[in-house]
Amino acid sequence: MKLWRRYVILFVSICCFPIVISQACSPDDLSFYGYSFIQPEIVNKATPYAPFFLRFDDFYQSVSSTVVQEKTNLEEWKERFCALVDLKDLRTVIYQSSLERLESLRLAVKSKKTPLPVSLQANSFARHLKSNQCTEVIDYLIFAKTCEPHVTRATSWEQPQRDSSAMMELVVEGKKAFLDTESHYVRLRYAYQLIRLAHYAKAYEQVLTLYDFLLPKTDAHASILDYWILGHKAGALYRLNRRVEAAYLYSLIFKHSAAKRESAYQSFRIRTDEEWEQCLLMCKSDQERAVLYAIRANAPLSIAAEEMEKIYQLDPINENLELLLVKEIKLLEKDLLGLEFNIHRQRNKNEYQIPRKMAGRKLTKLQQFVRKCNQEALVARPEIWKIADAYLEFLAGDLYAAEKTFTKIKPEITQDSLQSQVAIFELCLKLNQIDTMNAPEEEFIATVVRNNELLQKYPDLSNFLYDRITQLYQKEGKIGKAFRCQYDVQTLAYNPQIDIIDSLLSLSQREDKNRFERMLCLDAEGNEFENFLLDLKGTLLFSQNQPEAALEIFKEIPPTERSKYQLNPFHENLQDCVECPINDTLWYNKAELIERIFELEYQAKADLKNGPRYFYILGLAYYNMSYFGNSWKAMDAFRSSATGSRLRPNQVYDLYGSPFGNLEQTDCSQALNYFEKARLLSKNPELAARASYMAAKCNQKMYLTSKANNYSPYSNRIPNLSEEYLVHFKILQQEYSDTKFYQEIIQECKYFDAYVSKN
Amino acid sequence: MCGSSRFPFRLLCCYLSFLVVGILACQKAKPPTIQPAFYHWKSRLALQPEEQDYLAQLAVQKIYLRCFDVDWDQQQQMAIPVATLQMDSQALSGMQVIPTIFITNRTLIHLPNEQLDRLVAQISQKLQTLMRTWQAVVIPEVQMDCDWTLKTKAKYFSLLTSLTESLSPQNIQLSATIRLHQIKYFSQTGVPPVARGMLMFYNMGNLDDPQAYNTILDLSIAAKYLAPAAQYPLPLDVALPLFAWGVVYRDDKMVQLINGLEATQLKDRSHFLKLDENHFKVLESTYLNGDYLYQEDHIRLERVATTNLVEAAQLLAKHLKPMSRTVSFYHLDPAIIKNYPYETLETVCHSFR
Repeated sequence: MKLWRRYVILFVSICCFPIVISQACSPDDLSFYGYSFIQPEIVNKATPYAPFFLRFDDFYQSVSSTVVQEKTNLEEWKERFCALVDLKDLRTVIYQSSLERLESLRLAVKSKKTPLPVSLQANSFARHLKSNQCTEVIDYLIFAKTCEPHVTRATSWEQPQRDSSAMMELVVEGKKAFLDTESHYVRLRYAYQLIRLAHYAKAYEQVLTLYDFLLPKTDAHASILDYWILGHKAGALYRLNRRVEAAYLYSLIFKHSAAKRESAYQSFRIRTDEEWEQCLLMCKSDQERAVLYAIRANAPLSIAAEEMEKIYQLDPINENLELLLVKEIKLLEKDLLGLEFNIHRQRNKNEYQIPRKMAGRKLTKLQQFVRKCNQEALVARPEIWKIADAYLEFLAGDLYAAEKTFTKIKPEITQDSLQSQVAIFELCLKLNQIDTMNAPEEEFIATVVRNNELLQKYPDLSNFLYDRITQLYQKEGKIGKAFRCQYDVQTLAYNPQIDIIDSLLSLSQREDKNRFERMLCLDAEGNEFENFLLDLKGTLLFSQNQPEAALEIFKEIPPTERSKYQLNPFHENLQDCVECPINDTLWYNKAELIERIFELEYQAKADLKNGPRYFYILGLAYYNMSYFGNSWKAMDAFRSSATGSRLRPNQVYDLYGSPFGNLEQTDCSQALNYFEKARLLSKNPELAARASYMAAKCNQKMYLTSKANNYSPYSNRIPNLSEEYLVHFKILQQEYSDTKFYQEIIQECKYFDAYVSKN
Repeated sequence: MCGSSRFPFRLLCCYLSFLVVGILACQKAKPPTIQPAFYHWKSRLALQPEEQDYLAQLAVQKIYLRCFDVDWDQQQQMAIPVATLQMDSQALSGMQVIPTIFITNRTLIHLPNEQLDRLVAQISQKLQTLMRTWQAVVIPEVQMDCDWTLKTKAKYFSLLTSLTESLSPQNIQLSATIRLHQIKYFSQTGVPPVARGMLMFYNMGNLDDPQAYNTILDLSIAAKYLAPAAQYPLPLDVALPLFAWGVVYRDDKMVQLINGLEATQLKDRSHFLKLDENHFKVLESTYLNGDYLYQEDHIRLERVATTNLVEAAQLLAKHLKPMSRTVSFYHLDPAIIKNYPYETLETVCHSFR
């Protein structure tokens, strides 16, 4: 049972625990950070405008209008052939066949004896054309293919090569074919080709003439082509400076044609109030007028509430109202939802000017409108407006009123998608209503974060929840829990914070942890982290020159767990090499290491004969345990080699993902102290020379971490040490130049050689 | 004998040397040549008679002609040309024409490195196609315009290098526009690998700031950026602004720029309240030049006064290396040039001599 629970907690913690680190895209990810819970499902997905207005990811998948146009065109062809042909085959004939292949197809269609071209023998559309001898269709397709070079281009970079006179000759030819054609649907297609040709040939008057001449002579069922043709008429009207008529036609296209909606919106232009009034007058119904306001409302920074009022007055059941409502609520969510605990609110304000200055006023205005709609109950689906009312109260910060409204409307909501919308709004409301974080509240949070389905459905819920409770924990001084709600415990390794470590240690050592606390006490891999924290705390204390306290902490780690780090800093490394392996079989864990240091310190003082050697070994140990040595892990939990180029004493370096940056253990003063003692006490010049050299290295490192350092590791020069940092190099040169070690080191260490030559 | 015959020759040599040195010393340094020019930044070129007269009066022989923009198409996931110039091929006959291409920074952000060569080829190809249709014009230079950033610098500079290579067989040099901040921080922003730079001496303020005074030309801001101009490693031409616009703010957020907007167009007191000389408030929602303004919107009018233009030229002349250069005015439009007597522009050009 216990194991089962552990697995559940592990699973939940991996799936839904602090996502700040894992979800960030890159170190310079400065995108807007906020929360949104309004769901696209609440509007009618069948609403043709939904993709246009909402642009929710699942609605609007960046499908180009060319693709939509091709798809709808093929679907209509298929429908006109009673769905007897395959879409793929239609595409092959209509879009992918050359003029030559179409000519061969015509031969085959006209003559029973001539077979279909080999490449089309299995094509259902070609076979259908042949078996039904649809010569009108194939003639039309050949004509359309002939027009193609004049009206299309392969890529955006190609300059269209339009020959107006050839285009107008095609118009004449097509007009004759139109009149010779019996099928009204094929006639409609000819009409489209001719009007498009005239438009692109800049024969704008001709476009209107053709429209008036051809369209009355077609009696096809409603077709997508109706609006494609209308688009060319609108374009011609615009060029002829008949802007209002053009705008009106574009509004019709916007209303009825999915494939041309985007381009109709882009082409819709009104210049003056008078033109707007004239356009309204041209509309044949209030529904058409409402579309004009909907187009205006779609401008990126429109004041949609103003347009919604107009739409509502004209056509209260207009489907755009719901879409605009949702769009407005999404903007208000960005402004106001979780504003007081959003961890990136300052960035949102600086980078995106969010919340908008007038957000409060916009909210009030929208609330007024929503209440009016609710009172008058004329809208298409009153349930959405009731939910909006409650949610806007929540966004306005009136949690009590919002709760009351949700409770009141819940029984009236019958549609599934709306019920789940209310449920998530209520959950957010409840999270906002929590004002202290005690065991019952933590139990509630645990239940929420274990609901993986909910977290997947509402991707912002996890951030919303953890940011909210972080704020509460911070208010209550529960800094460990607050930290865990935002970061994985491993993050502490970069720059350990003793108060957070202590807070988390006391939490992890408590026996009576509730479910949520147990989750908080697991690391990103689902392991309990008490030993990690003990090691971190001991390491921190050791680096702060408190070895006795550190030893006590390390001893709290069970002996079997202490051997994570196998260290031996007592080796002499005349050349710095952090990653070089140590050739030894004697290893220490951190507790043993400190005990060995204590032993050496005693021996250094007690054994007068060998004392200098012990001091030297202690110096080596402290040097090797610093940032510059191969046993740095004894005193630091994280080391970045990138820091090496910009070292400064006690400097905290920025590190992505770490709230406290990165602090390196660069202090060599203790090592220097021991090397000096070794040199001063030693009667052996060789040992004294070695101690001098190592002290000189400490000096050099102290220079590199000093404010005086102006050395660039990317230059070809050696660090130019000032006098105070050359003390031990000079001692070595002046007092030990006759030692064997001196001769060796001057060969081996180019820096030292350079310093000697310089002085 | 020999000696006597040589002495006058030496004397003559000395005399001639002094004469030559004297002439050179007394001769005034030749003043730098300042060539006036204009930018044409519309998608249709059909010069009006008043524009032609204006160009003639100012002896303008050089036009920087916006040919097309390059922008990133999200749907196609590729760089595409936008708003290609349509023109009467005779319109600029006899002039020097500098085809200019604006490329958006977002194009460079999105463009994969492996598509860079293709883009260079597409730009060159399109330019060649356009240039073939122009009759009797001289094309000494092509100009690229881009407000590159540190993030896009490498890609942009690589594009410039490749374009230079593709243009050099025709003896056409490449120039690039340079913004003020790119002058001040050139060690960080880099210097584009082109033959010349065109310093765009406008758009200086922060358009997002509703309290800004004049974002087109603010000499107090400009002065802070010009100090390193003399050290800039490229020869610099200068572009000066001749335009006006209205900046529309909605809820303190800039929502629209209305080109060429003037106070006379905001006379209607039922729709606009004049707050001061340059600031207006929209009293009732209304269309203005095709833009729909909402009640409570604020409009700030910005234009470049002729005196400011002369001062700008003097400031620039003080900071730039003295040399022959082009001074190009942005931009050619009958509604704009009527506000700037050509004599003023002559004075501006003269300030650089």
